[in-house]
Amino acid sequence: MKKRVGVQFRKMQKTAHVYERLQTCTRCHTYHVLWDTHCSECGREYQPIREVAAKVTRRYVQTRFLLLGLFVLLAILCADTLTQLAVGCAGGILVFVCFFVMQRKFGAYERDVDFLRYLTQETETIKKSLLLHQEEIGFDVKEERIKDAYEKIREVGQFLHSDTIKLRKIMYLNHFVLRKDMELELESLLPTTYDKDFVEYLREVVKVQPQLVKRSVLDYVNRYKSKILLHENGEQLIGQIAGAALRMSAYVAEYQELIIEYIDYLPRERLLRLARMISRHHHEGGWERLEEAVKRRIETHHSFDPDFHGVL
Amino acid sequence: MKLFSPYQRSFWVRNILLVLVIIALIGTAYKLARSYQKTVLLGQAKTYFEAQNLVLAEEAFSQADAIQAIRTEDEPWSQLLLRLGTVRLELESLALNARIAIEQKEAEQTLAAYQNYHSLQQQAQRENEQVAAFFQQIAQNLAIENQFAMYYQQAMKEAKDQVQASLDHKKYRDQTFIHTLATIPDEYYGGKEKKQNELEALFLQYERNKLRDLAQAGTFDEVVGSLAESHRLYVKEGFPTEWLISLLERYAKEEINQTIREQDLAEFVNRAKAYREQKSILPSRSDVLALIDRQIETLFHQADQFVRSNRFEKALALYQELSRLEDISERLTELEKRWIAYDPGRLLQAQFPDKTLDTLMTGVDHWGAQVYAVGWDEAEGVLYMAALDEDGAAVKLEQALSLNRKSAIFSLSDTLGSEESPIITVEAAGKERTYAYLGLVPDLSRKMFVKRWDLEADGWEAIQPDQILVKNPVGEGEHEIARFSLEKSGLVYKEKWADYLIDAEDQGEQDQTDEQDSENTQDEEGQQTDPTDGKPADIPALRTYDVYAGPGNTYAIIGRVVEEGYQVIAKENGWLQIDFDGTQGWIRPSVEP
Repeated sequence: MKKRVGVQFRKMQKTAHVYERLQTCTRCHTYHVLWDTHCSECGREYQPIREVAAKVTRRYVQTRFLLLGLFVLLAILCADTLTQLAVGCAGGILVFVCFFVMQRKFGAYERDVDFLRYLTQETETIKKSLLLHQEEIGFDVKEERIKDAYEKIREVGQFLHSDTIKLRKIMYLNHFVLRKDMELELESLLPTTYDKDFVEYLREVVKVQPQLVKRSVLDYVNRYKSKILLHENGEQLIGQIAGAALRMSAYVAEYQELIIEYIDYLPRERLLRLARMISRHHHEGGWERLEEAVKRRIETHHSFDPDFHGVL
Repeated sequence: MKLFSPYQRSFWVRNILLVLVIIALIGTAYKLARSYQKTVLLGQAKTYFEAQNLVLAEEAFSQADAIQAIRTEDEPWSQLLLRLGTVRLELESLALNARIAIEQKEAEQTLAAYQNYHSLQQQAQRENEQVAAFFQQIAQNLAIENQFAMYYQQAMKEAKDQVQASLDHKKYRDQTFIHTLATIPDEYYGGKEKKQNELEALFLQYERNKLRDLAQAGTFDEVVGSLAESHRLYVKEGFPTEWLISLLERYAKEEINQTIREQDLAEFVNRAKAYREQKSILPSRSDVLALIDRQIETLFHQADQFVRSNRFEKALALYQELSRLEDISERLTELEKRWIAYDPGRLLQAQFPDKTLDTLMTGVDHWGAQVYAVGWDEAEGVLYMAALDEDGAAVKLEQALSLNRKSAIFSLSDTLGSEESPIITVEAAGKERTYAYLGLVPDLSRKMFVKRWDLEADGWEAIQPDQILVKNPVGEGEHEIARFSLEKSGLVYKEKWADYLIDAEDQGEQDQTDEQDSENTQDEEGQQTDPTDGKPADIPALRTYDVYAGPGNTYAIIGRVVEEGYQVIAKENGWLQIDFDGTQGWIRPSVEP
């Protein structure tokens, strides 16, 4: 068992969309997803990609205006008579007004379309920038800056969804002492196959933040419970997971087989909660077997516990 | 990674376009400003035009017209102002050219500007009153007429001063005043007629004084040349010159008559030639030219009489003098023809004029020549020949001969060769024998003498046109009287004709005899006598044979006998046994006696 260290993770930026985490250096033409505010190459401030895309769109609009203006001016320059001159000026103004109105009306749509096009065009560059970040992470690991490495891969992982990233995250997290006040993740770390390190991480997380156990985690445990049982205190771990599933009656209904199977490993307070939940929902269909298993468990182990009296 | 990000690309595209737009904007602003300026100027021009102020109207219009930013439609008033603009520009250009020409004193350019000015003035007057009035106003503003007036008045004064200075100093080389005075326009003389009269009087006075002074100090050529030069100048300026021609004719007639009276042929020819050279300026019925022609005719008649009386040298001298005036080639040909017929030696003199030759022989119809003459330059040892070939063309030949020059005797063989192509034989003192003999035939087509033979011997005789007997020649036939055949390659030894038996004493006597005979023969027959004539009679007497003790060359020679001076006793292998002074000896004649 490795020795875990206590760390304090930096706060993660909360964004509505993942792309909002993406920043770019307009001079070096590189992208950045970490917490740095200025480019390490040129020192220029990173700009959010959305802003840059909006600027590009604005410039496209300006370019079109300029092109239109150039044509109008050339028409005026080529005018041979006063009449042609007047027609050129008037026509130019009219065209400008029309174009302006159209731009005002459809400008917002254009920004979104341009942003998508921008992202498509820059996909390769963004990938290269993320690759550079991964190299940095590798370097941090070599230098045993595991916390930095985790924090960075946590950001990169927002954009790259692969078992490799997830497993590396889990490896880094297993170096730390997990606490309640930490910003931990669980669901996003679920690998597509069974992983021993993840199970170990799950054991630690469920202790400090059982609320992170959600349907996908329950599915994973349910799927690989035979392998989990091979772990030391595997039954207790599954029992803790089953106890964590008691947060929502929907989970209880959905995973009652798992709960029934490992009801003996439920802590007293989780069992009491389960009993109360059953008493509230005993008139609903589908809870009979669970109710019976809980009654049996109470009778055998908590018949003299006053808290259980009258619950069922 | 892409070279430019969309951010950078959009930045550059926009900025480049922005620069272009700014440039176009500047251009457009300039165009609009100029268009506005043009519109304002045109408005001003129209206002001035309606107020009949043509100068200001044209000025404003020309300024507007110079603005090319925009085109305006032509209107009647603008068309007139456009025409006035052309008039103003022409006058300004003309004024500038005139001022430069006047400052640089370029008379031709000034005159051209003056003529151009009047041409423009007439054109403007022909168009309409407005153009004519505008023309006068602009010309007045530019002071064009004043410039011309000042220039021409000054030029007239300087030219007249030059005339006076030439007369005072009697120096007539610089006559540029003629051109100056002639090119000054009529109006500065007070009209065309006044100009004509004034200049005629001035020039007549000048030319008379010039003729008088030049006649006193210069030659006929100089006087005539100077007057002719003046004439050319007057003609060039379009000035009448009858008075000058009559002046020239009077002078020339008097001078040429004087040479005729004094019978000074050389001077007559000089003056006639000088006067004829000015024929282009003289009238077709020039008295002096007629006088010259008459005198030349008289002189030719006199020369012809010399020819007819065979005084060819006098005739030739006269012809040569007259050759400077007339073509005498036909007369000279006739003269030469007659002279050669009279004396063929003239051919040598004519063809080799720088040689002093002894004429050796002359004749006709030999070697394809109509007539010929052969001469000898003893000092140089060169044989010369001049002839007229069948076509009458003169042909000359010359050949250096390497022989004893002083003793050389030339003759034309009457035996050797053909009648049309006889052989010239040369006899001179030899080196190894008494004589050196040379046979030559002239080849007129190749213009050279062909050597037929060159040999040394003690004597020779032509017995047939192609047969020669040679006595003791050098080479083949030595010690023989040998018979040679004259063939294409020259003399070819044929056979021993007789033994050559003569001692030195006899030889000396024989030579003397030959010389006497030769002299006698020459006395009788002149130049064509062959120096070898008379010898053939002696040759048989001189045929002798060695007498040997036995029938062979190995036997001792016991004496010598003359042909037919012995009695044959017996024959053996080509040897004859003869009775010799009471004894018996052997001889071997090559030819049986």
